[in-house]
Amino acid sequence: MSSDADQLQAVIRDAAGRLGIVFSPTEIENGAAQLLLILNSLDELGETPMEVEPTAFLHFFDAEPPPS
Amino acid sequence: MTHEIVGLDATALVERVKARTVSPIAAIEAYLERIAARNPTLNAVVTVTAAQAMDRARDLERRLAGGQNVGPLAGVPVVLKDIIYTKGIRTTMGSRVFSDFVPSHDAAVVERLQRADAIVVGKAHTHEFAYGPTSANAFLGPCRNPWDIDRIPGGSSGGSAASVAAGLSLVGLGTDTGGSVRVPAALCGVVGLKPTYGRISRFGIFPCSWALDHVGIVTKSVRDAALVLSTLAGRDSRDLTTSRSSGYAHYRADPGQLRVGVLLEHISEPMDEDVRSAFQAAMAETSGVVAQVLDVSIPTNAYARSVSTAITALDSLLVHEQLLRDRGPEYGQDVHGRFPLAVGLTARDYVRAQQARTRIIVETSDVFTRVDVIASPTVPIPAPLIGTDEIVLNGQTRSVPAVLSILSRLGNLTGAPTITVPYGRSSIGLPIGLQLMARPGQESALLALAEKVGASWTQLPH
Repeated sequence: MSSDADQLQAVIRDAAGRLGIVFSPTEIENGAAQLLLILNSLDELGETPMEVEPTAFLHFFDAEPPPS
Repeated sequence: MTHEIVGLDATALVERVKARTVSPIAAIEAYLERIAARNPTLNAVVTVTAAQAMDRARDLERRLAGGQNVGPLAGVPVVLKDIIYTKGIRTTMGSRVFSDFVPSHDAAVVERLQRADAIVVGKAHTHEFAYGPTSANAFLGPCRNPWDIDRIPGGSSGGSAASVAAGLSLVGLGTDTGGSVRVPAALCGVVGLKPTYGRISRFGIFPCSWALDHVGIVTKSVRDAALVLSTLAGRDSRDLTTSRSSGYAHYRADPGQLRVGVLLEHISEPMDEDVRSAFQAAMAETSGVVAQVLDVSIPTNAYARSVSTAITALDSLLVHEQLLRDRGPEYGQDVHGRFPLAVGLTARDYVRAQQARTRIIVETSDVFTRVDVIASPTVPIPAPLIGTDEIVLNGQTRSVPAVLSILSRLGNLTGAPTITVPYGRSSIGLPIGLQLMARPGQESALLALAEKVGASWTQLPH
């Protein structure tokens, strides 16, 4: 976990350097911790099979509800 | 007379202005007096537009005296979140970076309000760049909750909600990217409506997230929210996300025909016991009003916070990249500190977040084949004390900003219309909100049910 966070701190430092944006060490440390949580969350969801047939989605954005 | 005027909602005020039993001049004077008396404590209005407001009130009075037709919001005092551009009036975005910025044009919503004869009385406090849920702000100072000035009003549209709750205005416009209208409306005990994505033009409003930003409406009553929505909704060629559909007709739905789903993932979140009790009472009342109340589940809602945070972070970086390079040290610490996450995310992560968002929408749309409205509390806690970073809920320590918006992000990710209405008070008298969400385009169902079960705001907090 901590080595992941360390790697992500390096990722943030590199990206910030390319963009020319200055962050404090604390901001980078906190940002890496948040980034780790989000990436883990996206990984987890990506591995979860979807249980809902997406047919209802076809009508979701219609102005009127589908006929019941 | 002042007390009588401030006790009306917008719908009642318009009726009296049109009937010429209340002068728009007297109405605006009453609200400016309230602002002068209460705002030094609350810090809800950051720029008072008294001279412009009185000019408009006098013009409206002249037209009424001349027998001319006036607009549907005639004489209604409005505050605008200070990220909404107002021609010739300072618009700070709640940031030192824009401390002296004066727009050369009005936002689309300002144009529509003025055509409707609403009267802008001030610009409202915001979390810096609308990027946070507390309304803590190093540049403007904190905005305070009218029910307890030691507590936050919520955010980011904290000034809009606090203004309406305290009787400084009848309408507050705000923006809602992850709950920024509904959270403060709930914590301040007023109505907060986030319409369907694309319902109201965002032209002339400083963006937070292109994908998730919505204009929202804060009012005293549900009927006022419907009235304001009807004046703001519609296509605007300057905001290509706006809908061509005008398919909104409030109160068309019969609450007795509606099926209401209680969202299990929301009510299983750690929650203040007063909020839980109020929600249970709300559902008990609702079950006597609607056709059916049943439990529903959206399992991927567990990922809503991560998905919403990732999308908002990268959308915001696109907006702020140059400003961070040029004027980064002028940002407040908490907002500046949000951007390291953004620069660490990649295009691949953004696509994955959007794919995840689609899964959440698919599951939500499936639920809406079984119910017409999804219900939950709006916020798991009543307003916390200013400066509180963490809170213990059901034995778990949680970050206050994360808790504030945990129940509101689904509405932004799906684009579905969502409203909060006051429902109950905590044991120490703080407001609690009930959140209702319908399918995109179905504001009518929301408004009809909210009108039926939501508590009307009947008194000023002080």
